[in-house]
Amino acid sequence: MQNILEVHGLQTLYGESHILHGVSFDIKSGETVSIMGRNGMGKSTTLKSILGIAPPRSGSVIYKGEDITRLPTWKRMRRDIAYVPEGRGMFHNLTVKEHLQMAARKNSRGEANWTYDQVLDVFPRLTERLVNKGTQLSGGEQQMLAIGRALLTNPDLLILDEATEGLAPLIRKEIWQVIRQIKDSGVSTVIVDKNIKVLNELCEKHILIVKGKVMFQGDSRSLDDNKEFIEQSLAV
Amino acid sequence: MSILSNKSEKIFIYLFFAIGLFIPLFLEGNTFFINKFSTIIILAIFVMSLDYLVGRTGLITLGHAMFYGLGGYIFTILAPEYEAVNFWVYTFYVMLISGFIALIVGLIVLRTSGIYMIMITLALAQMSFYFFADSIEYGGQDGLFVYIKPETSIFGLNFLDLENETHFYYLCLLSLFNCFVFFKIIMNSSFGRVIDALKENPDRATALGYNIFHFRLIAYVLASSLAAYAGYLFALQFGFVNPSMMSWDVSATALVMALLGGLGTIYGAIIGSFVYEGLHYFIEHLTEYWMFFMGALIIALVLTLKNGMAGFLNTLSGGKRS
Repeated sequence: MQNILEVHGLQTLYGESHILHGVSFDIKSGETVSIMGRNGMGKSTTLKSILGIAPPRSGSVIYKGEDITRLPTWKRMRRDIAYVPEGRGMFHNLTVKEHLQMAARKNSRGEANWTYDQVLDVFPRLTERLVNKGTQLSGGEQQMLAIGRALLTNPDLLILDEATEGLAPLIRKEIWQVIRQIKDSGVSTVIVDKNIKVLNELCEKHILIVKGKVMFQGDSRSLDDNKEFIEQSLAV
Repeated sequence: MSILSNKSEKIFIYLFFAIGLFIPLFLEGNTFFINKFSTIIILAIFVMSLDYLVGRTGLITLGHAMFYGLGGYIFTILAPEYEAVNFWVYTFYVMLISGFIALIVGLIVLRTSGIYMIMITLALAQMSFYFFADSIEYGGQDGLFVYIKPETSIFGLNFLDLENETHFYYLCLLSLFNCFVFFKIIMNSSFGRVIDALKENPDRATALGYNIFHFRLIAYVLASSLAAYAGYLFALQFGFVNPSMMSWDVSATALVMALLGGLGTIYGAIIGSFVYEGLHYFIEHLTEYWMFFMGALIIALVLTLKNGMAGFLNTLSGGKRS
């Protein structure tokens, strides 16, 4: 299978502080990949470097065979990447409906696999909240809207940063259910989360980042084999 | 789907345009008031364009009057002195040329934001002010005169005579209506949603795949060419243009009107212009020191009314605070 994303030796700094020390990994087309690690280890920064929000000092990002390391963020997103940020990033001046409206577009091949109605089918809760502003929603609803908004851009690669953080267990379950559905539809997905159990079952590949370096990458079986080391690295 | 966003807006817009349509019948022959209303309506178009830029797009400019003045100048420079030209054709020219100038200016000023953008727009407006004030060719401080007003025929049909005050008033009212509908349609389109989103959080809008620079540039060009259209109407009404149209206090006053009306509400620009000019008219007749009282009153209004007069109307009509 072809790689949809290749990340080579990312070195990223915030001012003087060196966050990523040569992060490298690749993601195959259609694959669901988890990125794990304790807080402050560079998971989100890795995502932001891939997206150009925190441009790397060196290293490269190859997406569908094209070097996108120097492209501005919006151009990368136009190549059918969608990003659900940590904290959800709602617009307080837009309603749910307007959020979905402004995000909706066909992908670069002119396909629209996800439509407004389909997103509402997946997240029926949002149907009742269409006229509410983005910030008047509960955490779970905001997360659903953030994912729905991302889906409406019809991505080939979906990047989810802490999608279930701070949510009630039932809502979490609902979100994981949707992520499963997205996975089944063939979209490549990168998930940053702390729930190893769900990730183990959901993802084909796992990446562990410790202090800005990839300390482990492998499939779910090798994750089981290295369980002790990984749990140690994730323990607070 | 209605393009009007709430009850108070609906009531205001229906009432305003209904009264606007019939008021010349009651003012039979009183050209002073008809002219006064035309002037305020022209101002409202200008304020509306600024309101979209400041209130919706989040681009604060103190140089918007540059385009107001340019609109007038473009017309007087282009049109032959002693020949009646077609109003609609020149509307197109004025908006096209000013839009092109706005594109160039926008490419420069939109690289900055906040206080830097305020300063650079102010500087550019003052530059063009002094350019026209010092130019012998364009009449210097006195400006240029419009000797013959354009005719308004479309396909041989001619409904409006611009020499007639009432006709000119209706042209202004129609322009304001079109301008309002235009901005409301834009606001409700996906373009408008992106504009709202990038005002709130530009980084987030970028991460959704939007080049915020392009969107800001389009908004800037649209607002600027409508400001130029207002300046063009001004030149037609008063029969002259001069550099004072571009002076920074014109931009600042328009900003005050937009604030007074309720930033970003679009219909607030109409309220703001009428309230400001109305207060101006009455206080001016009461005392020589009208500016002092006017200033105090505006400070009081801006402090007490959240979201300006439009916000106040919204609360009155039982709407939720948005």
